[in-house]
Amino acid sequence: MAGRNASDNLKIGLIGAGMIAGAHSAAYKNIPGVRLAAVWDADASRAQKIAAQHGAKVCASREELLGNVDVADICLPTPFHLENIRAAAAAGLPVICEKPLGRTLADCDAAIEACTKAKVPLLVGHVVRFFPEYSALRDIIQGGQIGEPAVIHLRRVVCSPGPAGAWYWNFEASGGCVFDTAIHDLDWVLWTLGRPASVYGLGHRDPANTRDYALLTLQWSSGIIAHLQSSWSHDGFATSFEAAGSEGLVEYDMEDAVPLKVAKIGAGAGGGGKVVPESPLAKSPYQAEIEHFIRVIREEEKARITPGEAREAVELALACLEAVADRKVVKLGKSKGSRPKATEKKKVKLGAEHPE
Amino acid sequence: MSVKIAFLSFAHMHANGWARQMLTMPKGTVEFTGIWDRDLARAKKMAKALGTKAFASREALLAKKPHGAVICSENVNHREDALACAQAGVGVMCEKPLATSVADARAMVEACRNAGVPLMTAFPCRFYGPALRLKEQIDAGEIGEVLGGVTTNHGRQPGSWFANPKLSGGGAVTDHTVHIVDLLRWLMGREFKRVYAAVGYNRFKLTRKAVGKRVLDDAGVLSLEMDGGAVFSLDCSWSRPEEYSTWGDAKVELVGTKGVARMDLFRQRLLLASSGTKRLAERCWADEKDFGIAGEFIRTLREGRPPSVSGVDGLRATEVVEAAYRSAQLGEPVALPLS
Repeated sequence: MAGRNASDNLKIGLIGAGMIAGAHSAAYKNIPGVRLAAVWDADASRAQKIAAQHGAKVCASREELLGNVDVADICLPTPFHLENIRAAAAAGLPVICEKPLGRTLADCDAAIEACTKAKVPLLVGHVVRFFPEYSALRDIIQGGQIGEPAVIHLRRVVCSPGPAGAWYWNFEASGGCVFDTAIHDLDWVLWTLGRPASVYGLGHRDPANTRDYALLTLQWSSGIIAHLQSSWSHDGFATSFEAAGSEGLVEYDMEDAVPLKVAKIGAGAGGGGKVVPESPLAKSPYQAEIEHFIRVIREEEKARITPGEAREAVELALACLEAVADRKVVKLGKSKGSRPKATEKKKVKLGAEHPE
Repeated sequence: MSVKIAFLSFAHMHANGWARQMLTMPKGTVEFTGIWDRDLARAKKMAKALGTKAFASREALLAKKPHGAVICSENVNHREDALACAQAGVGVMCEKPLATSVADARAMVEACRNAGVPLMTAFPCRFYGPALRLKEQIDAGEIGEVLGGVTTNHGRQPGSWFANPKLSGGGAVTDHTVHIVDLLRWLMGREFKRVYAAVGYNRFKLTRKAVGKRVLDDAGVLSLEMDGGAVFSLDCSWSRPEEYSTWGDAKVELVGTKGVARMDLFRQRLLLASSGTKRLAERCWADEKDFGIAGEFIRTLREGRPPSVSGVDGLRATEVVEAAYRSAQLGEPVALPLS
């Protein structure tokens, strides 16, 4: 499609009105010249709820939606990404798609092919790149402030995303916690360190009791080790990380990075206080992500997350699942060349090879 | 009756901490027989500091018939020192790791068993309040069945003989695997069945400075599977730089069917910055129940009962270490028990 600029009124069509759709639609509201114009969801009442908040039209079909908007934003369960990306691309619309791009590499390839053929951008929501703590960690490592990175921990845990029987608990469809939480950290390591040489993993999966848990160990030929904890078995959402290098150490725990706590006396159980913790940002990471996508669609800047990178995160997540399932080391071959050279560039000299 | 204690080496300064703890026990509980050390000058210095005698020969000290001996020699010397104790009929508390190979650990366990003397492995973590409370809560089912967890025992490269594998037997994997392995075995009441280790060598500045031209493991992330299916990871790296606020940590996060527990064993702390510390420094005020592992050793000897932390516990932890090195060499997981 032709480039659009800020003076155009860009109409967004939301395909799928689930959880993440709320964050996306809130972000559109803050961008001049952009408005959420239409919502389609198999569950009309969910579509109605978001549409009402934004003065958008509820569409009876995907086709109706695609015919009335300039951009398609796909916030559906993973298995539905491909058919909707294809439909949006065929309609000539730029595509924003929630992560992961697909559950299989075949799906990813087909999605990328459809958008390439239609010459429309395909923008995948690896939002962690827009979290200031994660981009700062990347800057610290790439700037050599901890020397050569040695051992990196990334923890991303959450409670069960739904009751047994919810689509998340269909492992073939969702890919479990690795495709939901670890995919963010896998994208971060690829973005920051490039492609690992191997993956090992352990896990516990029990869909009937809504528990999924994975411990992943990634190793680079330079000697870097990264360890990821991914969970749908916790009591709530939490992230933390630590990177130790030859010359230093950097650590972060979301639970410690709470600059504001307001307690309401008497609002808690037994007459005690109830604390509401906050970590306010001028711009939420979702806002920053969506604004970037809009600038890409308006051809004001280049995409910071390429479709090839989104595919590679899926490729790495699949290797993790294989390692966990078979309790074996999965070696990763060379990338299919989809990763742009720029992200492989290292300012940091890497460590000694294994002595054997 | 006082329990008579000998000290075999102060190569590891934990011996000093335990000796000081013993000195604070009620009067008449403990009597020091003396100190022997491969470094006679150190034996003399410590004997003076602790108000006891230095011996030039280990056999001469053991011939004084102490009830027990605390072994804090360099890791590779644990076996020889423990076997000498067994031969002399002296009970042993040995600094961790019990040994630098499964074969050595087994020889120590067998020699002490045959001699009828107790053999303890010094795993003090079990005696700290947070660990004891965590065990109580797991046993009471507060977090349900444990599915797995993430653990760390980070450290700072300790220098001296620790940086020489001929004396230490290995680097961070040898030094910092065994505490957590023992804690998890104790908390879960189960054995490990498979180990995978991602190991790094000469990764940190402090190691590079300490080892010269030698190669030493100083980074390690172990993946551990337990009987019954629980899965754990353990970071044993010497990854704390000099500039960090403390020497390291011992952390355990356990995920259960009914709850999650996060333990940071030494989190009872103050943060101090001063012209003396030059950096933000942690001052830990955690305490140990009943004089910790040193108290347990004295009670074991006095009551003539088996120790609650045994030589077999040390052997099992040594087995995980050996499996980790084997795994790193093979690039594959390794099954336990080792064949």
